[in-house]
Amino acid sequence: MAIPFDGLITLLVFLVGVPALILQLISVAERRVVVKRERMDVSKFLFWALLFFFVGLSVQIWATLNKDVLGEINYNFIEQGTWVITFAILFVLVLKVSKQIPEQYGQREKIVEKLSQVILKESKDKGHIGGTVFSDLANLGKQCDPGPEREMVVNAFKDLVQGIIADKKYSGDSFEELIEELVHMLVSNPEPKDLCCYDTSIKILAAILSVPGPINSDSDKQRTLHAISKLGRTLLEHFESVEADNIILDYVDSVEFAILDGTKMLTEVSQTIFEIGVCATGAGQDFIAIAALDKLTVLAENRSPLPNEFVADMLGLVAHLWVVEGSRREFAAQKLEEVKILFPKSLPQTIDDARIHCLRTMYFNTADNLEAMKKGLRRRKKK
Amino acid sequence: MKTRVLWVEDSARLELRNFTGPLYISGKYDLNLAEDATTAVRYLLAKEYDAVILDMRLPPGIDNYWVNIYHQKGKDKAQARLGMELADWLFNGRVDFPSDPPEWIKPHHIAVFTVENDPALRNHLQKLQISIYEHKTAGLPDTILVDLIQRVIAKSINRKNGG
Repeated sequence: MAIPFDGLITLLVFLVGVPALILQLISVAERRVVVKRERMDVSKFLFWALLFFFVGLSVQIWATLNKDVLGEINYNFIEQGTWVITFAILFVLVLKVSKQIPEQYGQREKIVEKLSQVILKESKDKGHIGGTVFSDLANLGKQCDPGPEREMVVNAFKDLVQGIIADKKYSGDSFEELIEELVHMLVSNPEPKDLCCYDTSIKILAAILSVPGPINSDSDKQRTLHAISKLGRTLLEHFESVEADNIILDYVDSVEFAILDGTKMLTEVSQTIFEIGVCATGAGQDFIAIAALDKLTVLAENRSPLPNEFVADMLGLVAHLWVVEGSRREFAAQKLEEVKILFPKSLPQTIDDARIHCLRTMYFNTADNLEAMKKGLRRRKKK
Repeated sequence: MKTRVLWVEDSARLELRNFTGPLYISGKYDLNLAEDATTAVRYLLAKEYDAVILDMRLPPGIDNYWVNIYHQKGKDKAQARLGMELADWLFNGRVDFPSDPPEWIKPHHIAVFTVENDPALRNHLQKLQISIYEHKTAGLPDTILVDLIQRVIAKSINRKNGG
């Protein structure tokens, strides 16, 4: 019997081919992660396949060289037995590859799940999320298609946050990279299909904000507020649907979690609401603008004396409504009547202070609107 | 002081502006909107409310406890009735939830506002002493949320006065 090269080569090619086919079928981003991290375990399978192939070949050569000594019957028995065993082993390897590789790498969920497990384990040791594996997961989120594919990565972020904040060792400074990557992933190329990701994101961010004190650091909460502002504004500018209204309202509402156990972050909270509110007025989304202004007036109650920055944010948002003649101006005037009792100085003086604050922080439009409101109020008074 | 209101409702999308608009414009309410059981619990544990308007059909949110119940009940909001589970946690001594319910909340703080119109559900709510119940149906006025809040407040005042 000749060495069955045809069969052997077919099986070896199959062993290389299955992983290669899977690699071709998955997206570029996933391929990069898989090749970089795991090499799909191909080398291990190939090593064993080649080892058995060479063992079979060696036995065949030995039997051929000793054919005279072995005799015809023994020779035939050894030869056939060798190739039956070699083929059987190679078949088992092929079956394993055909089953295991698609299971492990043929689905994005599996890749994301594997990466998440590693990140969670690493971050519990390190105390924060970051490093190469996390970058791989974040890159997967940035490079994949919007919608369900990206949602998978955002959901993985959610699991990571839940896992870390449930740990008693959580110190309040673990999510710098996660928050940055989450914002980058959703803001750099906003797509309507990603609306579900914005919904999940506010749940993640609210979970970080509502971790009860005392924790060592406010860093995560501060970053979270910046993220809420950025994501909220992107939602307003790029998403027009009834669903988006609900989600953006969650963004406005959730910032309150940051000050439920103290007022330390009051001005960060007011700035976040102000930025979303101003963006809403610009986008003609009165409902959100009014909700934001209402939230600021709710927060202002019982927090006397109010910090200057908070007052500037609140009056700044009122001014953006004031500059539009008609019912918006009427509503703004009504709000001013409601909030002016909260200010220690006169209303014109308070507006002036707010305008100076806005000039210093380069909110020039708001500063101009505050000036216009002050002049308008003076004219109204004269009448 | 403004009236603190928590509206636990996930499907207000189409009516959101109509229902919440009167609250925002009046400037008399401090409104929080919770779209799922996890968020509702988070608000309830963090803040006291004068009125809680509770829907029965809720998604679980991200907390594993609610997610597990939701999955056990077939991933169906109508079947899972997580609003009911929330009420049970608050007033029926559920022990398996990781946190205790807040002490400030009493059945008279709650108004149920739902599309469900099942007598068995109403009976269960009655047993929990939740008596304000509004069936969400067509033709409701836009001020329904304000009306419900007023009913809850009136009931609270009535109780305070020993009524």
